[in-house]
Amino acid sequence: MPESALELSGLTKTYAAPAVDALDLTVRGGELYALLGPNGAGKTTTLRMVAGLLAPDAGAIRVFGIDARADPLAAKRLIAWLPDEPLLYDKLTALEFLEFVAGLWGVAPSVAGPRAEELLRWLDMWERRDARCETFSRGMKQKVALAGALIHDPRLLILDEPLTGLDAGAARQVKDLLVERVKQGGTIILTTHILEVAERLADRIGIIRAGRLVAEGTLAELRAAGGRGDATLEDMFIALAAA
Amino acid sequence: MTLFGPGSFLWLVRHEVRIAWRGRSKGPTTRLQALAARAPLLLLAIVPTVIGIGVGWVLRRLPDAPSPKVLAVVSMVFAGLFLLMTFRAASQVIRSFIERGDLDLLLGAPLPPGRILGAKAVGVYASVGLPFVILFAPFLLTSAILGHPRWLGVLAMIGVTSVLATSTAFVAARLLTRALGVRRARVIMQVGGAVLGALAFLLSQAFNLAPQASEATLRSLRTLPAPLDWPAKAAFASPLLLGFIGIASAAAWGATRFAAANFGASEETRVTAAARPPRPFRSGLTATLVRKELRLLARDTETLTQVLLRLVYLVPVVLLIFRGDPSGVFPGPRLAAAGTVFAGMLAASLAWLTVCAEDAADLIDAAPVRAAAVRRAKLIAACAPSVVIVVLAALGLATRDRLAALALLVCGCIAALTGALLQAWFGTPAPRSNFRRRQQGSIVLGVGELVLAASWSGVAALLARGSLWALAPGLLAATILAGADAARRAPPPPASRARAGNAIGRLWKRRSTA
Repeated sequence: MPESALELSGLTKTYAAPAVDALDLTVRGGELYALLGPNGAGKTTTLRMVAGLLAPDAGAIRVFGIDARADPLAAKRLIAWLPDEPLLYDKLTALEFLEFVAGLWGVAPSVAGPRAEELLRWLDMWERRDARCETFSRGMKQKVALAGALIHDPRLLILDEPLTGLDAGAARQVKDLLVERVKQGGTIILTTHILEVAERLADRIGIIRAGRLVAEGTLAELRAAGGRGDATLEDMFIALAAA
Repeated sequence: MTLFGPGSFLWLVRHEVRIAWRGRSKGPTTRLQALAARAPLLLLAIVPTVIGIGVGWVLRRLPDAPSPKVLAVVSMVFAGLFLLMTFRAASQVIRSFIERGDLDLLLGAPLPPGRILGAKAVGVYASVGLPFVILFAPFLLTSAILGHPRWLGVLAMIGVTSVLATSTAFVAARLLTRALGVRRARVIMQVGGAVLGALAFLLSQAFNLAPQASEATLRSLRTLPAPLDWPAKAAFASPLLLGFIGIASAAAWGATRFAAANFGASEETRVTAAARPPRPFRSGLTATLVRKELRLLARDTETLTQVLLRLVYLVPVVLLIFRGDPSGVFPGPRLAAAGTVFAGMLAASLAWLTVCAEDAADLIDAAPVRAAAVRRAKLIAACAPSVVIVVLAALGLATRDRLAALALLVCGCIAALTGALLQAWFGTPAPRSNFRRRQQGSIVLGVGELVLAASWSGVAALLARGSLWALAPGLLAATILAGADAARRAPPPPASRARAGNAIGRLWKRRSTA
């Protein structure tokens, strides 16, 4: 049994109504887990709580065995969070941004410098390393943000709609990168509205509705549970989300 | 198509003015905010009207024909106005034609491109000329009613000046963006405009700051030779000159239309940076954070010029408050006081930018760093420029007045730190672009910031004179800080807790656990 990368138990967050409702969820180490759900289902709220950006009302979060509520700094060292809107500074260059993120995560300069070059080259951004982020397109910003998420070599990568606004080429690059991370033993949780991405990339899929996990498993397990061997993920998602 | 119908020239002008106006103000979300948003408009209408009518009444007995000396002064004012308008217009041109990025949308519409670009150009004219028309119209109209109809020519001359300045700005902006790229061109225009604005303000205060020198200059001023006095003569309704300058401005308008037609999104692609050999990364959390904050501050020229302009406007006030030195004595205490206010207000403004206007709060919140470490680094970055300026100024001052230098050094650094702290304790998270409106959220904070800086300034002035009365403003500053500290420790009301959704806001609230 592989080590659990993330364990959520009874995780709860309520605004006017419950956004996340006693959610129990486990992500195994070295897998790509796709968290799906309709708009407002609680996906982003869940991930923000895992990333330490939002305090839960109740429940527990364990990241590789570390209690993230008791020792948030230790948990954060293992996590990278990439939201759908890239978190960048318009006035910094791509390289300065990566240097800044490496500094935040305490990566040694001798490691961070070559790693930044490797990532930017891999994402076809090396030639633009000294251009300020304000001059970048949406896709280029997303690539720099992704490089920022990877520069400290996180064990758990949390991606919220990582393909939003990317062209086909850039989306392909990101998908390849995710597959490569998982092959190297990294763990990824992503949310996406592009079900084909989840269908092709994810080891396991969780479907969340009204803050609760309503289905979970591999594609085959979800099909079996739904009693329809030939159903697409889209069919199952629509059936479960509307149920 | 009607005159104001969708797609018409005036409809497009209205769109431009609306976008420009909304770019300067925050959209209201409540009825109260909507009313508050209209308050500046109301003030803009009332204050010049009241003052203009009053001044018009006071000057009603002046002769209708101005003296040569008045003509010389008015000509110089128009020359200054022309320069000021040119820089302002150039910034507007770059913003409207390039940065807003709506040209593709507009030019994609089934409308003649000339109409679209002309409307954009008129939007720039309006934003440059209208404030001055609004400012002077009440005075000139009152004067016209009270027997000086010739003075109405000033209004026409303001319009003509704005057309000439905007046309010059179009050409300058086009040349600069082609030669240097958009970013550098914008920086030059913003800094130039800010320096001119500050100079104009300081000149307007010349009689207060240096009365003897100002009077001597005015006495020596006689007449200006033609054509330097043409603007003033045209302003006082010399029909021939006004017509001549009007024709020149019409030609300039034509040139502007031509320049506008060639202006646009193609300029955007020039914002590229040549890649340099990468330099090694540097380490250290505090250094990383401080470096990032200083880089962001240094590169945000627009906000930085706003910060510095506010400080320039404060300096004459402080110098006036602490005037009264016997003639011939070096004004060390006054300089120490002015330097202290400068340091305090600069640090407070920068603290707002570093702490409240964090662009990627979630990124920092998600990083494995203690909130206290982030807070400390942000305060260091906010105070660093003030401390450097204070140290340099104190070194200079020490050559003439050592006690004043010491007072400036001590009080300037304390004012910087406490000003930044106050902002860090109570500043509300907001986008960087909200800098000009940062004090709308809390008038108490704005007043507190000012009183605190003024108190330290009083301490500096009195300390530099060796007076024990320095304890009094020091006590006031300490009381303000103690009150602020008690207020921040008090639990916030539920409503404000709910509003504090931004991560950096939480970051400050989390300090007790970090």
